[in-house]
Amino acid sequence: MRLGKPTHLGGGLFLLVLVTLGLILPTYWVYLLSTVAITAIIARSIGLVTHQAGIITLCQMSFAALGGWAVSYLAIAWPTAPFPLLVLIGGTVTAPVGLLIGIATTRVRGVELAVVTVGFATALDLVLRQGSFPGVGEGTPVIPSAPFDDPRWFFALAWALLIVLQIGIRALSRSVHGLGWTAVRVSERAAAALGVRVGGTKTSAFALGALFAGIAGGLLAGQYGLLTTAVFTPLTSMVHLVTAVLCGASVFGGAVLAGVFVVFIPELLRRIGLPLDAANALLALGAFDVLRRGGGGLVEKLNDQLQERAFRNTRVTCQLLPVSDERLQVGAMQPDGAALQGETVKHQTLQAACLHVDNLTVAFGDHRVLEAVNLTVEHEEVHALIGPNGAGKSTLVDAVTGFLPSYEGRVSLDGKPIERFGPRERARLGIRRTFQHVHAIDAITVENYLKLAAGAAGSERIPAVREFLDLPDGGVPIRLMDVGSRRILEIAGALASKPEILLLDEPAAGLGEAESRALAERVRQIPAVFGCAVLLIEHDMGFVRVASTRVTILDDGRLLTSGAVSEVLDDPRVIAAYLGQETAS
Amino acid sequence: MLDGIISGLVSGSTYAILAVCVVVLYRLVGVLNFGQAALGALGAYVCYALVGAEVSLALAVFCGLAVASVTAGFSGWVLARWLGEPSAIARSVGTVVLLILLLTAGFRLFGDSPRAMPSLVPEASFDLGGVRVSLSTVIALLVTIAIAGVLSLLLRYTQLGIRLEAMSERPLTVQLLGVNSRQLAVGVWAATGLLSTLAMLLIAPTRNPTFESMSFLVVPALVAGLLGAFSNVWIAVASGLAIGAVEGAGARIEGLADYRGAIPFAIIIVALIWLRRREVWDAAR
Repeated sequence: MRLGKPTHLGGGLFLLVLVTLGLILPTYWVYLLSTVAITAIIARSIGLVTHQAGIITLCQMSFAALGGWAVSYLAIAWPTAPFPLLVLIGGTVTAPVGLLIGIATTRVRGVELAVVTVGFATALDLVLRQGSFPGVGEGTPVIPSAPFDDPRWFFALAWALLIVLQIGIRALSRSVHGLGWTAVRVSERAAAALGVRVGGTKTSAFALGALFAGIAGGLLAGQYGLLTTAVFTPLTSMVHLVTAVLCGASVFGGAVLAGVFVVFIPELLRRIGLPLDAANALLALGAFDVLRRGGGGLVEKLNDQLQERAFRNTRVTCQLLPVSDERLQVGAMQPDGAALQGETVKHQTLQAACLHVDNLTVAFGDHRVLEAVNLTVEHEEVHALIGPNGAGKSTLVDAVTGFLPSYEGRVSLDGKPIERFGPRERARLGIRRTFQHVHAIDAITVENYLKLAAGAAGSERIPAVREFLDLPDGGVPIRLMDVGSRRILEIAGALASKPEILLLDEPAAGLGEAESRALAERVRQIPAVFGCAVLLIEHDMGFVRVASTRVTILDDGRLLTSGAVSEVLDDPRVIAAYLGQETAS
Repeated sequence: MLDGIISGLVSGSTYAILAVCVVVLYRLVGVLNFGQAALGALGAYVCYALVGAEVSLALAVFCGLAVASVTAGFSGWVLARWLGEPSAIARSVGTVVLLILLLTAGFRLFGDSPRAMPSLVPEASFDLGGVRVSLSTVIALLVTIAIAGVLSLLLRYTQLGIRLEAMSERPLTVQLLGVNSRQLAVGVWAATGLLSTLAMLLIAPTRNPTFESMSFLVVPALVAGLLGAFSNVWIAVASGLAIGAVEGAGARIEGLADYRGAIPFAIIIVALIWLRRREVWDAAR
């Protein structure tokens, strides 16, 4: 990435400053700076759970309490153990608790999940208050093993752990699994359509967040010696949450700033003789201001601005130009040619239609949205599905992709019924879709989106897709792209996953006239270039005529007619029933 | 055991009223209010501070209710003014901010030591089939059911209720139709502030809680609201009462008594696993 060099330089400088501070500052300040690192680890865990995975967590300090409890216990039971090992064990035993809460709440989302976390925080607080932390009753504090009993070594340990955890989480955030966190935050539905395991993704965020917080709690045990429940109340979890929101703790700088605020604002208040709890109010008001402005915390916003500057002179849209078929054949087909031939042979031997919808009936309550609809999409055809608003087109897509709780009838892919599969499994089998409303994840880059969408299919098809749809540079953040380009990016992602069939729900909405025409040409080429069938929902008849070979018309949940595009669209019955209104409007 | 359940119903009534406030606010304004109990605590503590300053109980109660409604209404105005558009998540974090601010203010104003609270209901009890039932339990239950009943009738059958319901679904559309949604939001907030104070005045004499512990009574209320998916007032009421009853019963069991506050979390986890055993997808296309 183009920001690579300055980042390395900045990282080196940061380390240098840290080491210098650790060596020259008086012990008291070194102690405070260790607390900054510990708090930054907690802030980063909130950055992961709340900013990246979109779950409001009000229990990070409870996880920290578990880590602290484990370290306090082990310090007594196993006095000779090296302190860093104890801290790691503290984190490791906390992670399964996060995992369990994650598993139990797989189907819960949004604010409801926040209620679960505050419930956990309150319950644990009460349980902890009944006893005390190990060693507190007898007055035996946790003393970190040498050399970490020296504040400067402890400082080195705290910051080293923070940096190692940050490097780990950064790498993980760019893997297919980690990109799933962001996908789940934006929309669970869209994430599942990309083949992301929604429950597992949320659970892993919880578990990793618990691991981080547990490690921080273990460090706190060494820092304070004797822990009290007052450090880990639900209220402190809330204060840490608002601080993370204020600073933007999904990035390293934001987490460190959160640590600085939590440690130094009370310190400052103490020195000027103001009550310390005013710090909580200040942090809360700061968070409110950040929420009011939108667009992330302080450091996140700074990062975004730097990014915008870096991409000021880069093309950030998809420039679809009308092109001849020859260019497509030569340019994009070659990289995928071999795979395509293999698939063709397979299809010929199978003799089954790519997608077959048999007698599909969907009812919401008493209202029948679809009634006994039959639809067959052959391999290597673009099949348009048209009809007035409310005809049931998107419901059909939902049924085929597995998003409806139930339907009557059968859907089969390559002749095999897929009723027993959920949306994610269907996506993995090769049924991919785009949505009427754009769901491209604005927090990540074009390259990472394609990587996430391709998933198990690997990245080999990405260059061909990128050329086929004239995508901008891979490093471009999606949030800089316009809606039309994001729509095209979603199609690109779906194609990169090597689907059997692609269901496009109004791909041309939000595109200009010329772009729309150019996209229609591309859609027509998809079966030949990528060896996949397309089911196209579109209101723009110009688009349909260019892109598709066959068309099915739905009206009020029933199949009106089906056939070759030229015949059906010129059928007087169709013109009267549907197209007439369309031209009139 | 039965004694425990009956005495737990006073706490249960408080949870139930708070839960009704949380559900109504969530349904109508789209805000999950973590500060709901803290608003009530503010009202209750103002009332007790005035009683301590030799003001008559009636006037003190009136002032407590007024302070809580005005504070709640103002909070609602601030949230609607500045966090009207952002996501439900941002608005909920906004109420966490509200809770932190109220706790800071409450600590400044009233300290963190528990204080004895006079009861609004005269000390009296009677015998019902061998179980001692106090008058305050009966009154608490009646108040709870009356509040839930009036609110659900209001929501279902009046023009105002329908408007409010529409407002939470599509705030912008309703605004374009000429309904002043911000004004309505402030009204709903103020009403929940008043009711929360009432709930606190019911529970306080039995517990003598601190400002902070009173504010965190929002947790069982949130749990009760969650069991009704933040939409069903009556399930929320039943769940609130049930949590109180289970806590009351737990208080009489050796070995469990000290941990009875952890019961809401246990209930929520078990209930959620059961309620959400089927996959349901978020927001539309």
